[in-house]
Amino acid sequence: MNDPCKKYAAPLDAFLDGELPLEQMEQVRRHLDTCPPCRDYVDACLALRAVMPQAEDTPVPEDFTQSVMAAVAAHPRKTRRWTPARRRAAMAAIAACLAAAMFLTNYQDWFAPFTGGEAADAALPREADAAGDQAPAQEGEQVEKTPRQYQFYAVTQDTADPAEDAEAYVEGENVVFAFTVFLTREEAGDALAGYTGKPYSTKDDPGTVIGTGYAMTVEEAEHILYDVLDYPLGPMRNDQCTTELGCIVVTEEEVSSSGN
Amino acid sequence: MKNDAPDMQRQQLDQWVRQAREGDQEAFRHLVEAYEKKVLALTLRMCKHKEDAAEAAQEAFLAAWQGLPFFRGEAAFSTWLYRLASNACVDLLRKEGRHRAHAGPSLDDEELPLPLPDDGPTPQEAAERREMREQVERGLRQLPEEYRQALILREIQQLSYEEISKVLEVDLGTVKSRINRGRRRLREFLTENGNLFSPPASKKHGEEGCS
Ligand SMILES: [Zn+2]
Repeated sequence: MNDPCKKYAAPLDAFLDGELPLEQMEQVRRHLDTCPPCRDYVDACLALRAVMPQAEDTPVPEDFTQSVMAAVAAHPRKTRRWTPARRRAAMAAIAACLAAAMFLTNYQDWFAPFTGGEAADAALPREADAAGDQAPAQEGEQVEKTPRQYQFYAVTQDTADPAEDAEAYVEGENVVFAFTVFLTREEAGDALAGYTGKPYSTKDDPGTVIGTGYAMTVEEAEHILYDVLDYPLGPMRNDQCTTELGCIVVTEEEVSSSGN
Repeated sequence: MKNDAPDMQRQQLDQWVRQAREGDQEAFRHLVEAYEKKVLALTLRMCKHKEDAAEAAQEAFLAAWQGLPFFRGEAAFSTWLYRLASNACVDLLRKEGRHRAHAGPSLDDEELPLPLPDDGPTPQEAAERREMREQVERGLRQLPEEYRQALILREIQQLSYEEISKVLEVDLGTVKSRINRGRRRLREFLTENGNLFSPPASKKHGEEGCS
């Protein structure tokens, strides 16, 4: 079995998939007349396609539609269409809440050894490397929180970092999140500004950092996801979770989370 | 090739999407019926067990139902649905991975979850075709997850590169390279198993490249 020649290896797939501009399609076709290895590749791929299974042949379990509709009926949708303005307001409320909480935490943390929690106004929040940055929303002045629920999860007030002492989240090792959502940096945009993340990897391959994980409650995650994506959290609760918090993992380069 | 649905059908689908977004369960049922084979075609090949595949497909539809009010229609409904399905599979695989850690032997060699149709003009051709399909399914299953996904979306769901990149949330270059590598590996697998190049006599090209 010969490999296609180097120069044409890349366009061959695009050729097969009809993804080349017409002119290049012609060019590849001409090349195929003169180059057996490339032709073999294309023939093989076409033969493969001819025997590829078809979606139409897919067997559907007899009661499939029924059971989906039963599940749908059992999960009535909350009517909560958020206008952008309302969503922004909610985000602002949460952001304020987070900022206040973060400030308090860091601040108390920093001064605790000296003041037992009382601190002077001049104090500045410490750089965001502290464990416990993850916004304990219940302390400090209560900024109004929008009461919302997601059907699949109980809303929790527990916001402690589930791997407080660790430098990184290793899913399956030092934490099993209630849910995990992956976003690219591009998608996440600045939605996570103000949060502090930790390197995120999984037990299967703890050495490979997949991205930056941001632990948060379902509610917080919901707001972020609604704000940046066009779908809510899937029903992906992990029953073996060790925390009620979920994690948004931002892949590729780290999101600038220096925040404040 | 990408939008195989004729216009009429497309309009009908769009209408169901709009109605379902407004909470019309009957319209959503139509969507389920319209897409269940395609969604299952994907989940059956991503999950190791038939039951998981059905579960993942159901989760995907349920997530779609829940998410429809927020679906802004930037991507096609189908693309979005496949993304939900692929997420549901990954989630199940992750869970399964954990179970498997103490469950022992790998499930890779398990029976194919797909019963294959017997089609073909004669019983012999039907048998040959069936054999080939079995090999292709086996070949697909031994591919790394990422290649398999890309190839399935391309060959079975017939999505364009652009659409695949939206489903998998990776860039176009990545889509291309996954498809390319997936095909190469599949070709190798089938060549080693002596199958790809002894297709039924009905194949069009006369020249045999490799053997
Ligand atoms: Zn060539």
